Amino acid sequence: MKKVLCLLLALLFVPCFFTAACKEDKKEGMWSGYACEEIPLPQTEKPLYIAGYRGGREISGVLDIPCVRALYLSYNGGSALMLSVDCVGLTSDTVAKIVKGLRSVQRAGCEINVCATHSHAGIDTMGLWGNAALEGKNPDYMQALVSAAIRAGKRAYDSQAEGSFTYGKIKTEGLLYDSRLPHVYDEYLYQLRFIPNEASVTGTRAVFFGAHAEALRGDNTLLSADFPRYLSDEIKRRSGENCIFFNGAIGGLIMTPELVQGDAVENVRKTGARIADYVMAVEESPITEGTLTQKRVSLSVPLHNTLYLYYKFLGILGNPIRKSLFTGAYALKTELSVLHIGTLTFALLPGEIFPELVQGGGIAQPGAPANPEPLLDIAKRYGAEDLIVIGLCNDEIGYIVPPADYVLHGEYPFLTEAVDASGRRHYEETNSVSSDCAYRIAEAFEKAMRE
Amino acid sequence: MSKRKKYLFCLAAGAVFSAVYVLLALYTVRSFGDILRVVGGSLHPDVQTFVPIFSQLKDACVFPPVWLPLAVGALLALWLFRIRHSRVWVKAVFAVTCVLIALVTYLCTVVLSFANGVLFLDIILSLIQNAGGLGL
Repeated sequence: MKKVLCLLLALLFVPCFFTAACKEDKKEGMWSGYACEEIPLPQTEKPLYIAGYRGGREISGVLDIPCVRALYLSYNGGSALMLSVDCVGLTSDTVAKIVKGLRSVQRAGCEINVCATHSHAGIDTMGLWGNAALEGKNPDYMQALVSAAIRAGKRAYDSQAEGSFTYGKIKTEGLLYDSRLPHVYDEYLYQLRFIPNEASVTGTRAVFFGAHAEALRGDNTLLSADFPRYLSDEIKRRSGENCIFFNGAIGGLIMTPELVQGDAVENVRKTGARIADYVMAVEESPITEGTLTQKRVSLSVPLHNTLYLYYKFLGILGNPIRKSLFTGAYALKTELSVLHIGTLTFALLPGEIFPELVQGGGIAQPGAPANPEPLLDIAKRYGAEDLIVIGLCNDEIGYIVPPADYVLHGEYPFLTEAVDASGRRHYEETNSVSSDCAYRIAEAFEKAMRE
Repeated sequence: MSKRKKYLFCLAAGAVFSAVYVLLALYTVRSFGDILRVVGGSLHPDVQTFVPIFSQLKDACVFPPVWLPLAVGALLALWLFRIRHSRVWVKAVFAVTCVLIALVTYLCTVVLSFANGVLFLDIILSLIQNAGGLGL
């Protein structure tokens, strides 16, 4: 009996020791850390496919090596580690591996978020751009990516220093193009800047801007992080500060225009430099009150896309899919978050959301259901002044299309794009989970704002 | 019936049988064929990625169930004709039954296969539901 009691007591105290061993990350004031790790190209015989445009295209050379950038933020007792990966997107299974590797940071109370810059000149990290019906991901590269992300995250956390945060935004002109009518997009570029107290510590600018990273365009086969890389390099050159880029609401399909005709490499450099011009011109104001908090909400989106099912069946798609025992219907599990830093509100969304669903507007097809309330309106109802969207964060579920403008091909839905009565092409629907996705996102976002 | 006539009858029956199966197969894959034709057009490059996928789907799941049982049935029929003291129609019915069982078993194996949380049958059903009935 005594032995049993001793054992029970021991078991009771083990979690206490364990908790004590995890140092709580609850500092007062503003702290930040930054790190950047290149994702090394593996010595492998397996092909490295370019992510985007067409399947089965291997990289033919290297323009620049994609990186993982990590930004640690701590403000009055709350903290978050933001990772920005130079890649097309990361499904939640890969995100889970990175978070697992950063468990020690997470146990300290730090929220971990893994975002993709959506580079279409990077290596396929979703498995969709290999040869048909075959896994496009290179396992060695994926391992290298996960390792680089974990190293960057740990280094950013370890390099934290005290300072202050400033925030500002600027309206851009001629930097965005919407390939699908109506032309709705967020022209603003947002910046969160960390200014360290000590001169020996390098400051960091986090840039939030919504545009497909495809300045190298579709014929490119050189490996690159696209314009986010050249933006970071320009910021470093001009100010000496670190720069980390986060993509925004890019659905439908928001991209940068061709600034240099006929020379893709010069175009990507010019695009990075033009965005850097705006970053350097942002008028900032200090963040003086509040704290850092993050609320995560899990959501389940009805899955209607046959191709998603097929990719899941083949073991290529990394998103968790569940089948209802009662209805037999499939649903895709994902999550979104709302991050508050002082008075700033960030929506961390798991895919490529249409700007119409964030700021309103758009086209309504005859007889189509109405769009959900725009996220910006929801945020304002809960007291937020601005809403900064970070897309492709912690998951990539494809396009999040407005239900009012959701048109599928009558005979071959999801297999081929529809053309509506006014002649507009509906490509994005073929890479979407279902028309219900926007409603689920809006509901989950409101829940996260409310709580 | 002479042995020569029996073999000729067997070959003729096999040819008719094969023709029926090929017609059935073509009917079954018609929808896939339509998909391939439409998707294979000058559409967005991303969509063209899926063309060979469905080509593989067709090859993997439609043609083997046709040709595999046919081959099995033909072998069985040839073997049966070596057995004496039995009528030709009995042997033919037996061969057809063998073919059908092989076909159904194979189709069930394919259609009811379950991987990564997804039932293959559901992929086909999803295709039909989304298209409002493709006539598969």
